Amino acid sequence: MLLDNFKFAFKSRKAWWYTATSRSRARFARTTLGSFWLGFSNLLSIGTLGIVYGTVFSVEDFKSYFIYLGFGLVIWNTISSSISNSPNLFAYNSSNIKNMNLKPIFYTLEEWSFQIQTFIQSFILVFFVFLFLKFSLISNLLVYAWIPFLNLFIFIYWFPLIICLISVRFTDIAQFVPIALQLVFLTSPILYRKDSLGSLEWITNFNFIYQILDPLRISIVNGSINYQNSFVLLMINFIGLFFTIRLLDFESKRLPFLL
Amino acid sequence: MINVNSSELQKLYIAYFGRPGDPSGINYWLSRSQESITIREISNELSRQDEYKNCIAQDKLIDFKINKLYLNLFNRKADFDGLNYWIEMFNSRGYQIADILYNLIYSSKKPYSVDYEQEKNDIHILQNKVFTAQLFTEQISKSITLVNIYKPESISPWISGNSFKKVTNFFNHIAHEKISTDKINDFITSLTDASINVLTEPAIEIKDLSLAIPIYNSECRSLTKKFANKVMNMTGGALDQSKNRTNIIALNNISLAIMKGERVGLIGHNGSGKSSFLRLISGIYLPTTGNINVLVDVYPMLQKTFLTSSELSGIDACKAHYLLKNHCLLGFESFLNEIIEFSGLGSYISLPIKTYSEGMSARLVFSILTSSPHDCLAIDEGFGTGDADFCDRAEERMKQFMESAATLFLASHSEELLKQFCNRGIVFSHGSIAYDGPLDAALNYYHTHDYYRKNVIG
Repeated sequence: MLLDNFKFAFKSRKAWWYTATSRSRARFARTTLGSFWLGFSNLLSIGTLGIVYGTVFSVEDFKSYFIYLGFGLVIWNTISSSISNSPNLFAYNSSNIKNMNLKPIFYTLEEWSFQIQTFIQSFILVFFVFLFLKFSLISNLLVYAWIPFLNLFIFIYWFPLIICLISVRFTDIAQFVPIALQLVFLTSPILYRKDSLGSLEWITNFNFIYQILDPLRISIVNGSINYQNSFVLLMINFIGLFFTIRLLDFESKRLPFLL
Repeated sequence: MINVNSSELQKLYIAYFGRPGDPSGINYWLSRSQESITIREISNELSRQDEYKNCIAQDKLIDFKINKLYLNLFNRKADFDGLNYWIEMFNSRGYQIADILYNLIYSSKKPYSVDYEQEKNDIHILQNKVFTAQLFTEQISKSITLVNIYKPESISPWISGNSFKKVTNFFNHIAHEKISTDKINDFITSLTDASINVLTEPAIEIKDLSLAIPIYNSECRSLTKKFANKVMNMTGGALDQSKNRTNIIALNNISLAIMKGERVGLIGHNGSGKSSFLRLISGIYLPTTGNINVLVDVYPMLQKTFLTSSELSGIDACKAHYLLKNHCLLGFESFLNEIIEFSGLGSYISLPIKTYSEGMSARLVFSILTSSPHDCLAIDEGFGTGDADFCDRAEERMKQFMESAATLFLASHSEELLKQFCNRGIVFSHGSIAYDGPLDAALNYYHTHDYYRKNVIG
C-alpha cells in the first residue's frame, strides 16, 4: 500500500503540480504584479517590522538585522501557512474524496506543491533584494543551504499532514492551530536574536519548528552548517514522512466517513 | 458520375452507420458495381437497411437524421443554414435522407451559406475517417477470425452487438489526428481480446463482504470534550462512554462475482446500498470485513465534481483531468477543442468555474468525464446531464459512452434506462443482496408485493 502511494504520487506528479500552479495563478489573477506581489508584500512587512523591532531592540547593525529578520519571516510564513491551511485540507476536497477514486495523497501533494511554489516566489524576490545588502548570500546559498532546504521541504509536507489527519478526527483542532502558531512565533527567535532570550534560551531546543527554520537561515545568512544536526534532522524528517504516509494510508479507510 | 470504389463505399458506411464497411459488405457492393449500380442507388439501398432504418433512424425526426449524418461524417452537428436548407428540401421537394447525403458529400457548391474554414475542416476529418476505415477493413479482411468478430450480433432482428458498437465509438473519436496502422492493429487486438475474454474472466470478486459506515457523535470528535471527560472521570464523575459512535450497516454479507463484459443494473429503494456498493467497487470505500478483488479499473461517475477549485477556469479543469489521465499534455489541444465544442461553452471556458451557471458546470463536467472510453464504469443515476438544450446531445453521448465500456454498473430507478443498458440485475434490500439474476427477473422481483411490503411500506 505504501509503495502504491509513492507510485501513484510519482505517476500523477504533473497533475498535482499543475493544479497547485493554477491555484497560485488564480490567487494573483486580480493583481497586475501577479505572483511578484507575494515578494513585495514580504518585503513590505520585513521593512516595517525591521524598522519597528530594530528600534525596540536597539539594534546597532540594521543591515544584518534586516537580513536575519527577512529570511526568518519568509521561512516562518511558509511553515505557518502550511500548518494553518492543513486542518481544513480534506474538508475543502470532501466532495471529490467521497465521489472520486483518487488517492487522498493527491490532495496533500497538491497543497504541498502550492506551499513550495508560494515559498519560491516570495523567497526569490527577497533574496534578490538582500543581495544588494550582502552579496555573499549567493555563495552561502549554493554551498551550505541544500540540506536545510531539503529539511524544510520535507517538514512542510509531513508535519501539516499529521495536523490534517488529527483535525479530520477531532474537529476542534482547527481552532487551536492558529493560537498554537502564534505562541510558537512569539517564542521563536525570529523577530529577535536567540541570545535575547537569556536564561530562557533552552526553550528553543524544544521548538521543532524553530529547529527547521534556524539552520536554513544560518546557512544562508552566515554561510555555515552544522552537518551533524542537519543529518539528524533529515533522519527525523524521513521517519516523520514514513510514519505520516502510513498514517494517511490507515486513515484513508475512514476518511470519506469523517468528512 | 461517381465511380463505385471502396473509398466511396466507406463514406456511405461512415455516414449512415458511423462505422467502416465490413469486408463482405464492401465486396458485395463492389461486385454489384459490375451491374452498373450507381453510388446514389447504393446510398438508397443502405438507407433502407435494418441497421439504419430500425436501429439508428427509427422514430427519429428529420433534423436528428441530418445531424447524425453530419456527426458521423464531420464530428459536428449541422450548421444552422445547412440544417434549415435540408429540412426545407425534405419538406418541399420530397428529398429523402439518401438524397441529402448524396448532395452533402458530392455537390461541389453548397446551395446555402458556408463557412469555408469549417468546410476545409470537414473535408479533412472525412478524409481521415475514410483513410482509417480503408485501413481497418483491409486489416479485418486478412483473417477469418477477425471477419467473424467484426459482424453484428444478429441480422434478423438487427442487433449491432459489442464489436460494431466499439468500432463506431472508435470512429466517433477520429478527427484531425491521423491514425496509424499500429493503432488500428492495437484496436483490432482489443476487439479480439474483448470478445474472447468477455464473460470468462472475472472483473470483480467479492466474498463475505460487509461495510459499516460509522456516524460519530459530536462528543467523540472533540478533543477538548474527550479531555474534559477524562478529567471529570479522574475526579469521580461517572460517565458512560460506551456509545461514542453509531454504525450503519450499509452492505451486509455480500458475495458475488462480476465477469468482464457484464452490464449490471443495481436496483433497490433509496438507502438500500446501491451507492455504497458503487463507491466500494470504485475503491472510494474500503470494506469493513470480507474481501474484494477488483481486477479492472473502475471509473466512478457518481456526482458532478471538478478536480480543481471553482476559482480556476474551465481550461484548468480540463487540463488537470487530462494530466491525471494521460500524465502529459500531448494531444491536449484536440481534447480541449472537443470539450469546448461538445459542451457549447465557447469562450466561457477561460472564465473561472465559479462564474458558470449550474447548467454550464454540469455540461462541462459531463463533457470532461465522457470524453474518453473506460473499461468499467460505475454510474449513479444522479449523474445528470445538465440543462434541457444539452440533454439530447448528452443522452446520445452517454449512450455511446456506456456502450463503449466493457463492464458497466448502473444504479437507477429507471426501468427504461436499466433495460437499455443492462443484462444482469442485482436487487439490494437493507444492504444485502435480495436477488441476483437476469435483469427482467430482477425487475420482476423488485416489483413484487413482498419487496414493497418489506422495504417500502415497512
